[in-house]
Amino acid sequence: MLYTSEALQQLIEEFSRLPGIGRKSAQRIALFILKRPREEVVRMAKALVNVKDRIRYCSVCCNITEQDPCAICASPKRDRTIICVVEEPNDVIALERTDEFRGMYHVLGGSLSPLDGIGPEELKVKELLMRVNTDVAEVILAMNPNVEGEATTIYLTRLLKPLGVRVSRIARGLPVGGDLEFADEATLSRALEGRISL
Amino acid sequence: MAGTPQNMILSRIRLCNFRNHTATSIEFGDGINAFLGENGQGKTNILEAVSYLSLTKSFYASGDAEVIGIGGEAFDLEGTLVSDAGVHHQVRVACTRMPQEKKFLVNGTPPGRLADVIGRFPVVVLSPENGSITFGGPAERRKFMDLTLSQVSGAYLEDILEYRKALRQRNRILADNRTRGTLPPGVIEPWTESLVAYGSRIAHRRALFAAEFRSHILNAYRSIMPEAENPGINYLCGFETKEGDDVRGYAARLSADLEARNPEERRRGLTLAGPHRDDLRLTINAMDVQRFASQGQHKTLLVALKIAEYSYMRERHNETPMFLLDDVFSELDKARVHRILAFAGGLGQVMITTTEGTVFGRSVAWGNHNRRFAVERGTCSQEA
Ligand SMILES: Nc1ncnc2c1ncn2[C@@H]1O[C@H](COP(=O)(O)OP(=O)(O)OP(=O)(O)O)[C@@H](O)[C@H]1O
Ligand SMILES: [Mg+2]
Ligand SMILES: [Zn+2]
Repeated sequence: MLYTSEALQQLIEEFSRLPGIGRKSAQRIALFILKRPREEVVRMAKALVNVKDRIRYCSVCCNITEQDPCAICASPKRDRTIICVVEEPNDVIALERTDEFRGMYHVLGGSLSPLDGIGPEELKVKELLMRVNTDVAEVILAMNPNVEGEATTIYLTRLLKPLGVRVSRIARGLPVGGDLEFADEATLSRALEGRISL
Repeated sequence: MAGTPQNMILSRIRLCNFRNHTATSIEFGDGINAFLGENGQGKTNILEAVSYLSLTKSFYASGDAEVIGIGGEAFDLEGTLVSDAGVHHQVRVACTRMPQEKKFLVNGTPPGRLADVIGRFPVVVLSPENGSITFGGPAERRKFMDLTLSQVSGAYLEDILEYRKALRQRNRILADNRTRGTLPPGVIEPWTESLVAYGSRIAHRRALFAAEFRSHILNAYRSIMPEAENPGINYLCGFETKEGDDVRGYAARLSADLEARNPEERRRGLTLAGPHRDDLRLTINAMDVQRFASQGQHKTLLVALKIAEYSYMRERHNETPMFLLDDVFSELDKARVHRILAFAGGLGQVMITTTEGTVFGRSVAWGNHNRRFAVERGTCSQEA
């Protein structure tokens, strides 16, 4: 369907780029925004620009942060001998909520997916390899339990093993097809305890 | 009044804006339910609605939007399924056109994923489109295996879904490599490993299925065709295998096969070994059905395949499947129709559509258990 307003059309275009948002939902969101008060929309637009302007990537773990290094990487209380590799920043939040894990993180920025044009170059793989030095004893791979996460786990294992570090993955106690982000805390704690060596 | 049913049944359904049924309610019998009416009145549409409740989708339409009543904004289906143990489940599927959104509810709650519903209320469908199982290419026979096995094993369905994803990803790498000529080291191996893990389990399961299925199809064939024709079914694996291999053996062979075909895969930009290249060889008296069978033989074998699917599922599932027969009697002689009906009478709930009410003759006693319905221009009413 073509709307008579180019501005609206363009907004729909932008929304339909968002992950998980199809054209239909994009239309709905755009029409919703059109109905909101102006201040509210300005606030929203500012928030969008702010994330781009203020947020940076931690030079250690590649997580998003406003300060470099991030709070976790800067904390003296964390165990620097263990690195837990996750796909996205929200996976860090999910794992932090369990209050179980005291090590460091590494945020890959996604998982391998050739169909989406994502190969090792598009992920923070090199950065991970640089971090794995003699002080690091174990790398835990906590990718999402799906085909892409699985392939990423296999890929990283093959790279990490020769470096002489212990490589493990969190047990697949997670709901099939579910993302880490959606797993409840109890499930995640169990998954962390039950991790298996690769 | 019937007591606790011993077979899973759909006791009632309500169709709202579904194809040409604007508002149709049906109370089913727990035996044979016959839907009679002229061409184009809405008989198949009723079976299609039943398949929605069981499989979350149509057994033949390509998309959900297609089945929304023309001019309408949404369809809404709702039915009561009574399990073998006598537990009632309210199942509802609703789908809107704009935006296109499908809701599936079992007792008011959505399942984690639509795939979780598959197999809960098992169904076997025999419709004219199924002719492609014996006439068509290997993909049709893989679909046949997949639909059967997915309803029996959630793990199998999971493997199939994951395998397809891994295959598409791996094919993309190979295709990109062909056009751009760059394949960095270590990039394809993880996908190969995943493909082998899922693929070996799928192939192993399918091989087992074909072996187990043989006796079912033999029995089914005998029940509708006592003459001495011998049906056969053989699994043709999409990679080198050896009889007696376990899953690990399958994995090792698929792995080796992919390794050996690597240069060709790179040249063609495609994955060349794996269960996506499987087939089932169907034979009658050791002759290939696809090449040598007559129309009647095709049809008889197809009916036998579906009856076998039913008994296979019945044996392996804790719920009795529903049996949907869409327009099966055309092309079959009276004797065969009679035997099929006699056989269907001994099963759980069966739904049959036909334009020829006379085919039933005296084979079926109508009443509460077996019901007859007249379907006319999107309405459905029970006949005495
Ligand atoms: N989305 C739709 N909205 C409204 N009507 C539809 C829709 N899709 C199909 N129909 C109508 O449904 C009718 C076909 O119904 P159906 O396929 O159930 O017929 P049938 O009784 O099985 O006929 P046959 O004996 O020829 O197989 C046609 O009249 C067609 O126009
Ligand atoms: Mg029909
Ligand atoms: Zn950091």
